[in-house]
Amino acid sequence: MSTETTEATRIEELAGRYSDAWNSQDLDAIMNLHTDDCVFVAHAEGTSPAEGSEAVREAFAGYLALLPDINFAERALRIGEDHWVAESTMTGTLAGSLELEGERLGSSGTRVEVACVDVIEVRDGLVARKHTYLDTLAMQRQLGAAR
Amino acid sequence: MTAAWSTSTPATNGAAETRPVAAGDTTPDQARAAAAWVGAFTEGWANPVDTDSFCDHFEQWFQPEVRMIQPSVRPVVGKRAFREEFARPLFDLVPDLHGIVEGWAVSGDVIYIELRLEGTIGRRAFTMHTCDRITLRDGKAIERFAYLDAAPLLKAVARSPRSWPKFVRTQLRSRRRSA
Repeated sequence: MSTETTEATRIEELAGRYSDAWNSQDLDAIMNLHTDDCVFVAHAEGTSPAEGSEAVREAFAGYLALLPDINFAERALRIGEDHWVAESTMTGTLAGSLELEGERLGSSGTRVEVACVDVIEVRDGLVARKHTYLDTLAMQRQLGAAR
Repeated sequence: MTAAWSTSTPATNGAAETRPVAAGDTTPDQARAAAAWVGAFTEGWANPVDTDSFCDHFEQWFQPEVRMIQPSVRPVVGKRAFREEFARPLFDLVPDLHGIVEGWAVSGDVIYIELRLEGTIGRRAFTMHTCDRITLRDGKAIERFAYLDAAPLLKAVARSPRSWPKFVRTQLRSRRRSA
């Protein structure tokens, strides 16, 4: 097995553990797979980049509180030598209404389903950068329709 | 080959950037084709002059039946539709729209490109980010799927009443297509 194949295998395994941690909604397990100086950027209206593990933990905790059963159903996974890209369908049930720029959207029990892609860069066997791109308009439509 | 996530953009003179080649699911030919395509994409978005020069540049990198899928609007199929139904309404609404490639990677025939789009609607500047999945066939795009949050653009429209007639025309054009 070549060095690169071994590295790809390691990254694929990391991607699997990372996905399992998210789909178990296990914040500690998720954060254990991140570097201390990790960065998380959700490319969605009304969000700011989180830099450093404390800020990233806080951001993730917010998502888990909002969508306690959050789940990423993977549609495609592509492994690189220092990254992976995962296309998935994110689903979840709102724990309460979501406040976005002063407007309250959705209510407890509202289901959301939105396509997203994660671009995840790996350093030293851990997640160093996670960029998430998702269609927030679709999510807002679902939440707005549920008001 | 398992390629690295690249935050440097390929040369825009059509020459492929030299990239690490490894065993796996990407052949050296696929890696070169991807680098050339990303170079053209980078150049095309850097400073579009107008709709037609933008389309003239991109169309040579598209298969005739190219299919473009993005949130909130119906898919656009073919080069003519790309020009008339995608690019023209977009540049009519945002004449100074341009994009900066922030990162990319290739896996087989698939390229992922992170693109930052910037433009002005009325006097409202906006920035939005997209991650495009491009599928190549013979070095040309057969499909583009955009993971895009268009909220910044719509917010700029909402705050620029002078842009409303153009935006309404864009929406009506899209609805006529889907009728």
